[in-house]
Amino acid sequence: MSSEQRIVPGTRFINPVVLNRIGSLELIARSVVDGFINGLHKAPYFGASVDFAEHRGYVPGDDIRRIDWRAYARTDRFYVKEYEADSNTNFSVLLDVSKSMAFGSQGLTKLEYARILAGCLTYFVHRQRDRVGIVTFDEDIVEYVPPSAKHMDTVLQVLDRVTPKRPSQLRSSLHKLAEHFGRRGIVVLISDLYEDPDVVLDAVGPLRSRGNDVIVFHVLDPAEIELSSMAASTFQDLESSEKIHIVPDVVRTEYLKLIQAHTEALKSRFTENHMDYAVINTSEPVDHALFNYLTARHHLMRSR
Amino acid sequence: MAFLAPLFLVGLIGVAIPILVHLIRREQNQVTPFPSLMFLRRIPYQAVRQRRSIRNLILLLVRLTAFVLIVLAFARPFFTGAASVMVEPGAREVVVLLDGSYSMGYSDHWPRALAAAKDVIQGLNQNDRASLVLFTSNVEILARSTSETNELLSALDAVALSAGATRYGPALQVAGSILAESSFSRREVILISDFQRSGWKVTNPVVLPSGTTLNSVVVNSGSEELNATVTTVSLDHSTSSTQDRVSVTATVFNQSEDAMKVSVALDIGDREFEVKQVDIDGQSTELVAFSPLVTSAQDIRGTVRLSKDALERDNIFHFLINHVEPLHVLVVGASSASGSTSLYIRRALSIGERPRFEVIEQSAESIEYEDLRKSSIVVLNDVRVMNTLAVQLQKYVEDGGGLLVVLGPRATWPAEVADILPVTLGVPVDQIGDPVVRIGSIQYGHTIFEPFQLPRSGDFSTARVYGYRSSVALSSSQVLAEFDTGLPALVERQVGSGRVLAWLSTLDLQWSDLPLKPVFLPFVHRMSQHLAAYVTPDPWLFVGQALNLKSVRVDGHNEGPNVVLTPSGRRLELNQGDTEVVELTEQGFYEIRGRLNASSSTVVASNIEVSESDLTPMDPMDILIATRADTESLSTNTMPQTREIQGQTQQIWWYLLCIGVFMLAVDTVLSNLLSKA
Repeated sequence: MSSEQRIVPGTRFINPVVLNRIGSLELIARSVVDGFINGLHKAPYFGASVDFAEHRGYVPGDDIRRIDWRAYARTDRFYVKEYEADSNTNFSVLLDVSKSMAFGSQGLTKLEYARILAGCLTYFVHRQRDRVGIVTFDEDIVEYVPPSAKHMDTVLQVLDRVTPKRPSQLRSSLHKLAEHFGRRGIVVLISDLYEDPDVVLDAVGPLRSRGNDVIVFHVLDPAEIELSSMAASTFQDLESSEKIHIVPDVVRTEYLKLIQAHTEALKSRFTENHMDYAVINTSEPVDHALFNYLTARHHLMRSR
Repeated sequence: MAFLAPLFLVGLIGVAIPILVHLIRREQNQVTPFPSLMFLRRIPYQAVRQRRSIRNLILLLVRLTAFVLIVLAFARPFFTGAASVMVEPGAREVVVLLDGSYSMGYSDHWPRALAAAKDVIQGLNQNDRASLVLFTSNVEILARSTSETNELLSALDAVALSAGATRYGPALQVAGSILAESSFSRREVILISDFQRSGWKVTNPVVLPSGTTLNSVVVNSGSEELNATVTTVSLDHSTSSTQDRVSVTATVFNQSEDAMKVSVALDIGDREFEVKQVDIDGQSTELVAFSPLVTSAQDIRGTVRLSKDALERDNIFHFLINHVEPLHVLVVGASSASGSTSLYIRRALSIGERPRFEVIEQSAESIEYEDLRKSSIVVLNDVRVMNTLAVQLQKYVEDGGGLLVVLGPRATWPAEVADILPVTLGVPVDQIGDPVVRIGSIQYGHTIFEPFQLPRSGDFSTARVYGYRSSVALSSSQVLAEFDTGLPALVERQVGSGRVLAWLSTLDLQWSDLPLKPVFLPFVHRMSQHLAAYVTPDPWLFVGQALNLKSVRVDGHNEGPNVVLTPSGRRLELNQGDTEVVELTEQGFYEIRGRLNASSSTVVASNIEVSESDLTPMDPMDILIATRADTESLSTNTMPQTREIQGQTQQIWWYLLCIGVFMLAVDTVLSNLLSKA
């Protein structure tokens, strides 16, 4: 081990406060739970699977078929291969990096918040020895990191270099992704979901239909939710550049109704399709948001 | 409606500014980035636009109104035609008080005052009556209660500025008395002045008749011009054995805020003696010292002149360098007496410049009446007075001479001669061996002891008296000082035209150590001056002062002057029995010629009151408040008066300004409420 420790870019998104808060919880894929309950669960950690995890020194009693002869040829020592257990889950974050995510009224943009959320969640899951990956998208796939136990650093690097540049196209992007998620796992979508609820469901549906445990974090800024602390001015759409002159005091009531209706419609559709949905207000600390969600999920799973 | 300051109306152009800003902002509005207009797009637009316009419009109107009101206030509006609506019926009694003090000569104040007075006179209605009063510290009624406009205008044309100072009190008193005698119900006083603060010194309240309207016309132009004043002159005399010299130092004050260069000239007689150039900072004083000049046997006229400025009257200061004849003192001592008896008297009288004393010593035996007549004062220094001398002394005193009798142990007076002594001559009392006697009680109110009354001005009680004459003062005498035994020490008696002082001890060291005390010298001088009726001549007097001609000595005599020539050349003939007090009304030199000898004369310098040069203004409202009889006299009936009077009376600008400021406050509160909402 080198005396100099390499600092991985994106490490800043792993917030110790957040991790400390959720450290006692688990994010276990429903499929794992279901499998466990139905007897499909095998060894809790390492076992035979097609996914190589690491080498271990041979000890008498190991199955000699698992000896890696190539490693012996290189090192004159006997090593056995360890594989990831079937109970280890694929965990992927689908992060919306479109231009609308660059909005923030209280210093922290939605994208910044989403990165922290994604980083903490990924690390949390990685600690559970699940495989982690990330996909960033806007109107198309921007970056794709398949889930793997070794991809933690890669995920953090992707989070670090993400920049919003283009408008979003939820349906086309997520439809492309669905093909890559053949193996069941946990898929976390983090987006501001500025689409019609039916369009959102149509975008996310294929992921669910492939057996993935889909969690949707609907990230919104307080100004988007309440239209507060904003002066009468010309509002410009960050993605389309369209302009409308708005007096927030006048339109607030109507606006609140519309956004509430939107979130309720999304909740209804996701619930119907067995997908978790949570509205995340960026004024709420990440640790609070994650703790509340994971606790609720834990209770819900226990109650089955 | 008219405006006193219409140029301010140009500011109304600024009203367009908030409107332009309002319109421009609607087009160049602040752009707020928003993630998505997905929901905002769905909200109806028409309602939003309408509601926004109404709210901003109210705020805009409030601001515009405040701005317009404040601009109008600065333009000083007043109603010209409204007078015909508000005027009460009936003729008016009007008193025009015109300030004729010399401060009105500053800049263009006097022409403006005359124009204002003319406006008032020409604005009188047919049945109105008016009085024209010119005032300084005195009051002169030029025309009284007349309806003849021509008479008033003629009187106005004859008016000229005087050298007097401003006093509002007497003028208002006269106005009040004129109005009190009037049968008209409508009474008005119009005061035209520069309203100097120094002129308002009313100790007794002046109340105008009830219902009187007092209007003020302020003639100050507002612009400040340079003005310097000669405030005083000091004359330092120095005497040498051969000649007397005087050094003249002028004090010059710059009334302006800015520094100025001043040329200061000293004229002696009719010729220019010396000129000096000085730089004086604003509101500062400079002392200008001229070279000494040699005095002569006659009075010397002097004038300090400054270069021309905004007020010329205060650029001149006249003075006299008085030639003072020495006082002749005849000290009579006994021929057998030692020189030390008169030593201290001689030495005390040898020191002194104004006046100088010329001392002659003679023995009592050798005195002739002619010797007495030539003397201003005779001192009998502890001598035996024989009959002949006593008779001569009596005549001398009765003719106006002054006699100091030092009653030492040897002093006598013949009983056969009418006693002119102020005391009965008592026996000598020798205090040697007994407790020392001191001078206990002193009449400090008497002119002899007046300079000693202040602390540390001289202490007589330190002198020790070893011997004195135990005497009693006559009833016709005045005891001026007593020993602490209760017996008189100094007694005075008026005899005929002269006076006698008796000192009941010695003025040498025989009976006291008073000659060794610091008070001895001034004491001897004061007694001598009092006996000689010596009056320190004033180098100058002031305009407004009364000159007592009895106190004026013409050619050494005081027999009453006959003719007074004023600086302007006016000739005042005074006959026997006429009042012998002349008021100084002009600046310059007054010449007083004697009754007996018309070719001899005395000069008196007359200067203006320098306080009048302080043009610090006062608020005319102070006079208005002080003179009102009741609130009715503050009526605001608008008359066809000058624009300034109308503007000041109506004070519409004040109400506009208050409302404008109130609107700004409303704007602040309204905009805060809207932003919070």
